[in-house]
Amino acid sequence: MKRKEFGQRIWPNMRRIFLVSPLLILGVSCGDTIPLTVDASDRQATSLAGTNQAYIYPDNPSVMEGKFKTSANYSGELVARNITDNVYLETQCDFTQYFVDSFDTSDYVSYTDTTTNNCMQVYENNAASTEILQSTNESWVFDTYSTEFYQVNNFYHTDLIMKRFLNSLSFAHKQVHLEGELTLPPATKYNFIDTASFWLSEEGSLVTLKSYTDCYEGLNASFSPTTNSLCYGYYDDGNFRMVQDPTIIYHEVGHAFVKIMMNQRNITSGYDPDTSSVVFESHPYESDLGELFYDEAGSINEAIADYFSYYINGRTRVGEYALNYLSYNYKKEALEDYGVTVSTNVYGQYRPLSEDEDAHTAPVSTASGERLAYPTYLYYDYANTDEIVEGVHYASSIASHYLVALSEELKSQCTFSSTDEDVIHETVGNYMVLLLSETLGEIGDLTAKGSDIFSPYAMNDSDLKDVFFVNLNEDESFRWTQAVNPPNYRKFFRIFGKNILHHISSDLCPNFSVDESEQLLDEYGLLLFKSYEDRGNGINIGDFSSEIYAAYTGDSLFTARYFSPVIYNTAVNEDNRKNSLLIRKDYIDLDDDIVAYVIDDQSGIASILANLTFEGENVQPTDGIAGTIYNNSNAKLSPGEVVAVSLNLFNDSNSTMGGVQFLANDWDHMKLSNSSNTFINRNLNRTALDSGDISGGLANFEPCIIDSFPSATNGGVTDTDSSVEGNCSYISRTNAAIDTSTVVDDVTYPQFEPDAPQPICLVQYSDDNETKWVSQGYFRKVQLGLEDSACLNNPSKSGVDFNPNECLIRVLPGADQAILGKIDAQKTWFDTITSNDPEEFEFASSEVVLMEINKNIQPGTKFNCRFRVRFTNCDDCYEEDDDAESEFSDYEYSGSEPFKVINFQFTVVD
Amino acid sequence: MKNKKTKFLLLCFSLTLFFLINPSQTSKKETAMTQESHQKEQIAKSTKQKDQMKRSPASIKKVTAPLYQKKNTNPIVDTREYIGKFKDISQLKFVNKISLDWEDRYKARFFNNIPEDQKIKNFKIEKKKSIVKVKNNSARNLEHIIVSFNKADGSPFAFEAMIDSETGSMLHSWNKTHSENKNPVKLKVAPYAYKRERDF
Repeated sequence: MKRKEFGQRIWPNMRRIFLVSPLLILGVSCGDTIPLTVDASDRQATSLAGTNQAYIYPDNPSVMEGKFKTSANYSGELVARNITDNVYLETQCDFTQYFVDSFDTSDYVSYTDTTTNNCMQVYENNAASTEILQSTNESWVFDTYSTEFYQVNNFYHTDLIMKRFLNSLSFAHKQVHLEGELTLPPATKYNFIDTASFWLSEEGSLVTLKSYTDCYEGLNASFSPTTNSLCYGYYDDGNFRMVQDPTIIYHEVGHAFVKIMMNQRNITSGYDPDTSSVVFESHPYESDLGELFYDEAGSINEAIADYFSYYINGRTRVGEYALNYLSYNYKKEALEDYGVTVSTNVYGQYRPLSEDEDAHTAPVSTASGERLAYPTYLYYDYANTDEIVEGVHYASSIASHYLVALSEELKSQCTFSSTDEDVIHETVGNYMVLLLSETLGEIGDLTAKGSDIFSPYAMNDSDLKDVFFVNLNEDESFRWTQAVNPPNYRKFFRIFGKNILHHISSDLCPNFSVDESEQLLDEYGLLLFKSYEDRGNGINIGDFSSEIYAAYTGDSLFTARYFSPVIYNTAVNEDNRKNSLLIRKDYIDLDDDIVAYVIDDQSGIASILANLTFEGENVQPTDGIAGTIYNNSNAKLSPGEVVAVSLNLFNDSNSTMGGVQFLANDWDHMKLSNSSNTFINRNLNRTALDSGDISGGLANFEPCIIDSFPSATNGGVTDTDSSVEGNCSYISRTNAAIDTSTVVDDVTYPQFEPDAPQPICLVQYSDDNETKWVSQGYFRKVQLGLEDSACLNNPSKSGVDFNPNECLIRVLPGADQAILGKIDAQKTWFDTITSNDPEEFEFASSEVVLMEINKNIQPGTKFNCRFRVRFTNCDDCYEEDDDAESEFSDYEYSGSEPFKVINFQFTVVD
Repeated sequence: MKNKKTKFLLLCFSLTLFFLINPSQTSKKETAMTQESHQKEQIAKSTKQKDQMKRSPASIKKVTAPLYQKKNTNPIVDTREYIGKFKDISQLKFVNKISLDWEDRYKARFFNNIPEDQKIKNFKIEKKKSIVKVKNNSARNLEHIIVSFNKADGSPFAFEAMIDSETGSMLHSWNKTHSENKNPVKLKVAPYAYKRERDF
């Protein structure tokens, strides 16, 4: 980029920062700030800064100087700003919630939570001995470049975006609950203050976000949702620090905001309608947007985090200093982690948030048809179009550019109370937080209600106890959000689009029509659905009936507000679909020749097990029955090995498939041969049945015929009545697996639920009369005579969870799904991603599933594992047919219909 | 005096051990005390509720008899938190016991996968709370833990996990650190192509 151009772009934004910052501070700090600029000669003169003020850098060194910088020089660049009136470098929570005035229901009353809890603290590092910084004589001025100086600056920028976000969230709450049209059940928590869910919280109490300025020596930054802390690295004796670039701070704090919005619904308060007692209940788990390494949910999380930089500074660039430093100093690996690939020292790197930024090397622009479209740009490295990279920081560009483009559209089309650009930017930021809060609140809801209006406790209505609208039900919701039906580009933008329809186009900004919204989504290839989710995907597990929002039309949503949802899903105007092509699932299948990559080298698998264990995944092989010591690097599946398997999927269509997921978790694909015999075939139960302590029989599951496999003559079973529990035609409504309710003399005798999800691998059984596919539990007893203790995940490891149907081949639960970014037309995924250099390609752990193989299997034994595959831009993976009302209900993801079932067959060899 | 103190400490230790080893009996005995503390909790929260009525649902229906309790916490006898629906705590059937060494069992599982040469520092397991998960009157003892450590490069990492109180096996993990540098382990692809078995 030419230096002049850079200046032309930077300086208008610099002026904005200088203009916006005082306004923001005035807005949140009651006008106690006297902004002034200082020059190098007086920047350390405490007397020139006001009480509780400090000298801060309002932006990163590149922006402040108007040219790309590789070192921070604050001479003449610092400005005085109010920091905090507190003695310590911390700030209390300050959140305003509105509610209907009980005495005058036409009015709203505000309630501001100004508890003494600290919402945020800044430290030098996370060592136990580190004490929080204190002001000196009511001054926060410290020597420039000192750690104290950087702590104060870190505090300033974190506080700035935190207060701005809380204002936006307050706006969102008021709008969706009180001032809006209420044509959707609001996902945003109603009783934010009661539950403390407007911020990081635990059990209804606020939690402090701790930010570590000089966290450790490394070119890294992170957010820990467990410790609720931010960690910024430093390098070169502290001459380079991540916190020197405030856009990095905004990005990292953005991850914390995603956690807040995702989990706002995971705490419930109200009354128990049965006991009239107060209920205050947290879900035991929390939601996260994105799993490990690569998935679309993770890339959306990165996009939102980038968006929060734009949200504060209105600039369509992130990391003009930090990324430029890394590229100039050729920190190749660190750069790649940030989504940039360079082959030598280059100057002028940053992450763009608009197609008009000249960092893009691809021919993209904001003109129609030239946007970053899904799925084409999923592997896009904006700095080097020759690179093909699968990573969340690369795939995030599509969503981050869309979010910024939407904001710009709203700025140009909506009506505002002021013509001031900064006011308009702030207002649109509020709209965007509303959309994100509604979308993430619904996606991350582990109570599975979707809205307080379906909470029996919030509504004090016992009829609502069995009603669920998202993520199946409260027991299985964690599994649904993380693996079975996790957020991908389709799910996220279908819900996001629904919220635009109801909250923006039909309410706050009618000038931005639904057609325009769809056209913008389509420009990004994100119009991946045929209808919006107006009616919900709910079920009442009390009677297994399906539920729609409209059944609750006219219900009072808190005082004097009536919820009036539409009855039908709003169909997408198909005329708006130009770029968002949908492909039928039949077009994906195993390659005809190479069906998979089976990796069984000892050191590689040991490394991946260690890596996943570090990351908290449950990938523990069964000691003594399987382990990497058996691995022999022969690219086959041998007794005792732990292997990584990546299906070699072929895209037989003429369009690119995006977000390909193959699942190896248990699912409802087998049928009890006798519905009365439900006791799990294990020693404990056999002995008790023999002695008469319990009555019934041992369960045997047979494979349902799915896509003609296995045939009836080869052991497959089928039926037609979809109303009979336990049938192949009946899909489990609850995904419940093991029933532990039979207890005699304090001993539990586990039974299978009638539609218990079962492990994916069948085994071929032969005797003199027949050859058929059977469950592993059957085979291990009849053919091998193996005791429980010789099984994988045997009772000594798994207790009541022992399932003999994974006795021989077991998918490690912490590695039971793989995500492949995209598959180009008429190619396999492997060919798509390795077009540069196939020989050098290496699989990442997110691209494989891990299986352990029982050492007691006889070589020659044949297996068929039923993987379930789907992809994001799939035409028939989310709805049954072209009817906009036939979107699959959450429970149907326990079965086969939303997926292409892929049979991976192999023979165990020595 | 010293002798009395020792006896008292021994008694406390024995009682604690007894309750840990006999969770179901603990639960039965717990009922009365739990209800008492629950009532106190209700009173406390009712007071809070009175102050916050404007933010509460409008349609409050009166129910005469409590059918079940949603959550029980008794700080004196048992600090385990009950999650799930049940009518009578004394009727709960436990599917597992509490091993005194569940933490060591989990730790052994964790390090079983970690090669000697992969050093991590400051490894810590912190128990966040003990849980009894109830479903269909069947109860399971679980431990909600926080695992934290520094990776070899010094970067901090943490996650939360739910652990079986008897076997130390992990049910779920979540809230893993979002690091900008993800650095997944890579597996070489060559020569691991698996060809279709044509005889099927």
